[in-house]
Amino acid sequence: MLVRIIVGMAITAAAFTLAGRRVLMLYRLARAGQPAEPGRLDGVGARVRALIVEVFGQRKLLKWTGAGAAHFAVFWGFVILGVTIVEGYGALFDRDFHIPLIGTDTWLGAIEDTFILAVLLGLIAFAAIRLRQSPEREGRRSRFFGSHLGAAWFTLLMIFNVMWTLLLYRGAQINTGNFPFPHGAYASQTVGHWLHPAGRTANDVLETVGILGSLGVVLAFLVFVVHSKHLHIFLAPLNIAASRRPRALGPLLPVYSGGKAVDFEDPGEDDKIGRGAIEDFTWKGLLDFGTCTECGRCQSQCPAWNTGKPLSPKLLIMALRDHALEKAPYLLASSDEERAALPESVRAEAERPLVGGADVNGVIDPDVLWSCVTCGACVEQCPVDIEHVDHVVDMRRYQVLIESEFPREAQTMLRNLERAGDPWGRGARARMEWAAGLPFEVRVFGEDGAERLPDDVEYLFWVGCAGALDDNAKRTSRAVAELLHEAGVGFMVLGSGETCTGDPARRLGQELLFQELATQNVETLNSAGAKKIVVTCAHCFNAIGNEYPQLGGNYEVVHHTQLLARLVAEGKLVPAGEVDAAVTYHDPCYLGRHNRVFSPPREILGSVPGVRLTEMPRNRERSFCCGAGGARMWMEETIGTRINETRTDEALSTQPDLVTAACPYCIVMLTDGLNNRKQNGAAADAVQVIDVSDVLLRSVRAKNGRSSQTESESAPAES
Amino acid sequence: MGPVLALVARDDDGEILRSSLAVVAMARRLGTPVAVLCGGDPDLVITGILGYYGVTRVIIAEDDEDSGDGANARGGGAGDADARGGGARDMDVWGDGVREARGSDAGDADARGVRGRDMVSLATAALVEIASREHPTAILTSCGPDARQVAARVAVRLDSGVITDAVDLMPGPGGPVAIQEAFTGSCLVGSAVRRGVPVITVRADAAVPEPAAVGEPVVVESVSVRRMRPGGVRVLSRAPKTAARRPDLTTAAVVVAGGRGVGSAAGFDLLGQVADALGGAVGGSRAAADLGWCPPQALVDQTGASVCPRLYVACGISGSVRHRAGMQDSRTIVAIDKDPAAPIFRIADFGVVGDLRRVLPALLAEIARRRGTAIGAAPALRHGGAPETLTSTRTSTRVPDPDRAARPQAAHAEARDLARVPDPDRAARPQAAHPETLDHAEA
Repeated sequence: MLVRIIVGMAITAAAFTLAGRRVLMLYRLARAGQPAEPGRLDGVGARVRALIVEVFGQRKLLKWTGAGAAHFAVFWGFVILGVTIVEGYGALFDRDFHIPLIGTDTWLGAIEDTFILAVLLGLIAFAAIRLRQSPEREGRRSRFFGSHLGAAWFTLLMIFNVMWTLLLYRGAQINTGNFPFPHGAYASQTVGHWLHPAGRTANDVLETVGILGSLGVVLAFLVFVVHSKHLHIFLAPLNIAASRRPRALGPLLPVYSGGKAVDFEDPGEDDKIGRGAIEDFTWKGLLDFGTCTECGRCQSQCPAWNTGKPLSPKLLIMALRDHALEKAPYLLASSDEERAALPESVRAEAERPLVGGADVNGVIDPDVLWSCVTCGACVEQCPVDIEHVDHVVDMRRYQVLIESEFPREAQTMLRNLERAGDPWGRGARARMEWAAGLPFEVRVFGEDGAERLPDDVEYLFWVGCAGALDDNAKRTSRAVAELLHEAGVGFMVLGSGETCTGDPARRLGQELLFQELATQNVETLNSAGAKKIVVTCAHCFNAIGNEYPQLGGNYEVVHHTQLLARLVAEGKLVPAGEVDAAVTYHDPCYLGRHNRVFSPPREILGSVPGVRLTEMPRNRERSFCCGAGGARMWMEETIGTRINETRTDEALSTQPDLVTAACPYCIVMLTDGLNNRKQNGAAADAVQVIDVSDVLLRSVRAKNGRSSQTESESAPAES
Repeated sequence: MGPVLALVARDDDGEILRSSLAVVAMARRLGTPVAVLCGGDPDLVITGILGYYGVTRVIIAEDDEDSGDGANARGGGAGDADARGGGARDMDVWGDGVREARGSDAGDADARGVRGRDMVSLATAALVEIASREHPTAILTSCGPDARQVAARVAVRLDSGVITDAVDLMPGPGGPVAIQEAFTGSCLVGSAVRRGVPVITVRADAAVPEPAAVGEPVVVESVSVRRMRPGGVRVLSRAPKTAARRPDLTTAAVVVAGGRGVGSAAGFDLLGQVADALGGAVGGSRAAADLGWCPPQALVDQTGASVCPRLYVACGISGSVRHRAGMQDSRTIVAIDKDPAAPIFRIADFGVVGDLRRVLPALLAEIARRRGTAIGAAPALRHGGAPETLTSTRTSTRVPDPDRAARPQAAHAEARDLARVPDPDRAARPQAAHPETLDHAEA
């Protein structure tokens, strides 16, 4: 027994020393980051709920049934089998130890053994998944491409070691009479049965060796975990608790420096704008990097990665983590002398620019940074709630505002926003062109001299730059105006009083310009007394609804599909005419994933007689971006294949007559893709990309006995 | 207001570069523009054009007879011309984007003036000479590589300051204030040179050359200067660089662009012929670039090249707002498309509804016919005469556009009788035609 105690205590002390030093270093490293923005720990209820649902319920992992179930088994195995560690340590001191009160109950023994088996089954599943999706076989398509494969296999091996040593000593304990459970521990009994013929002495030895071995494996695993990507077993709950709620999608956070929002009117001398070095990230950012488990679910969903671009959200986070760890001695050194005395490799690491090409040995390649469409598919999938999009935009902010380094072609958009208030440089005068030729007057705010929106105006219709200037989107604006008119909803537009919401500038990282445009728009909307706003653009929807509150603009913002669906449900719009068409619907990222509007567009399509809706393989939360988000609309796509063409092909695979969407960006991208496929003969000439509202309008018009063709086709020519 | 020296450069055909006209336009914001040319014949066309844009004096810089550099400077001329004349239809047909740099490798001087490296030293010497004599308000050049060299050298020799990439100029209490863009145009910075004659390079896209004839005849002077000899360096030989057959897209005076309606990569050959006939560059819409019919560098779009030629011929381009963002500053827009409802017609000054495969050959034939009957008509294309050639009473219609209402229209009325593009198969219809025209056109 003395041997047990001495050896057991010695390995425990050694392991805790090693692990403790590492944990202390990691803690200090996290503290080397900036303070997090306020509110990270507010709303305790929501955070506790998230912990319960995401950690104990494993909700996000279970989005993938097979892998999720295996992880569920292993996770709960670790929780439950914590009891066996208590039993193991007890047995160091008292051979016949059992946990007081419940320690000999049949149900506890049964549960323990069940989870030992469940974990073993989980390990088999994990191994099978890793073999089937081996990067060697699958290449870039494998979600494990670029992950630390050796460490992953070693982790599985160590968990396996924990399980078999556990079974070994429990079996031996049965034979030596020291097992706490007379009944219930069926797997241990089986092992005991196998070991029985070895005799009493052998079982005595096996018991001691097994207990020490089992604890040794657990302790070795502990040391390994804190040095590896498997750190997530401790960090994931912390990260989930500190994550943005309900999810790190929708609005972007303002630029924070030192935990305070930067005042762009008068920025402080020492304010850090965006992230230009690893230590510019907040502790939450560093926690994100440390928590990444390299599972690659993000990578499997990423539109950039899936079209051959160098960006993988997983590899991005891994690169940042590896850099943080390698630069850690430099960051944690307390004096210049100490830093100068560091090994050459550490000092070289410290000098790497955060963003830069291979020529300057950058941590993140500019092509990686600028490939992101901010679609949020990675954030949606991440089981540990890493905030990829926020980090990408924060790094872009530094590149744009401090370095002035970004794809040159996006400059046209910025200059046009600055000069003309819209991305194409058309100017305010062109903003009412879309309404020309409508059979009724579109009321423009301020034209009659009024300074507030009149009482009979329920909604301010925010037309948006695309809605006012892009030919396809103008159709949508006209359709929505006509439908609102038909339903008797009082609405007004701002006409030349509108400017871009600033969304493209913000997604590019040009926060200064966003602040200017947004402040101006908030002033306009507030002085007009706008309360309810309807928008047709998913990006305007997100900006006004989610981001303008940051600047004092609080409105009830609805997307046109939400409003139209409600009008149909209330019977104010009657889609009586048949639209005989096979239809598919593309979820715009900023409407769906970012803002959870999934049903209204489908309800509208469902209400139109004759429409046969076929979903694309990737829909709703897993919708695949059109390629225009994250200001990618304003950049050239020169690497890999085209995202919009990939999505168009997916749409065409449903054999549609109409490809519908609910965002002008998506419609531009899908129209481009479709035209390209038509040219190549891969799509029929009759296939069209249109807004959902257009489908509804066709049906409503048919009821009114008007030909939808003449109205919509002749209108543009008149203007 | 004192004189403002504007360095004016000419292209291979002796035409004044558009960027130089922008320099002249900017100079007018500060005072009386005085154009400084490097050599060449002060012919009436050149002085006439400069006068049309508000220049009152033209100073031709020439080498001092004693300097003995003339032979050397002219030496490269023949070789350069050979390279251009005999150049195969190589990959450079799209233009290599370094138009003004071209001459750098092959000094070239004749009736069209001195260009290239010789221009740099001659212009530097001339500007320094004139500046020390006349104390101008400012010295302006374009932003081309050669012009920037000149600006830097002049500033050093005058011991003054240089401001680059100005987008606007205005008189200030302490001398001219130059506006530059910072942070991608989100901030404008105003700067003034505090010592000596300010030397400012101005961006070609920052000013649209506007006619401002003063009504008086342009005074032509010349100045002989002695160039500074580089010490210890001797030119041993010169080899002409493989030259682009077509001008650079972003600075070309004429751009012929094609879109989906062109139908194939082969269709772009026809566009190329039209571009060559007009001395222009070839561009493409997003659709054309996506489909690989034209190289990505030829893309005219929101995210591609922004062009502002005197004449933009849009062939088979529907005219999306994105395309428009890349070419809306063009002076005269001619649209050719089958679809009379195409948005491009709303911004076009002239529209032809018809099949490119018929309209373009007809256009080429007409250009060839006029070239044959009226020598010298072609150069005029670049300087205000362009639209007439493309106008036809039968095949096109002016489409009023509120944005473009301010355009000068006088020239167009008389143009109506000048051209006759044969009507290709009755497909070409006025733009106001009903949508059904489309069907006929395709039939």
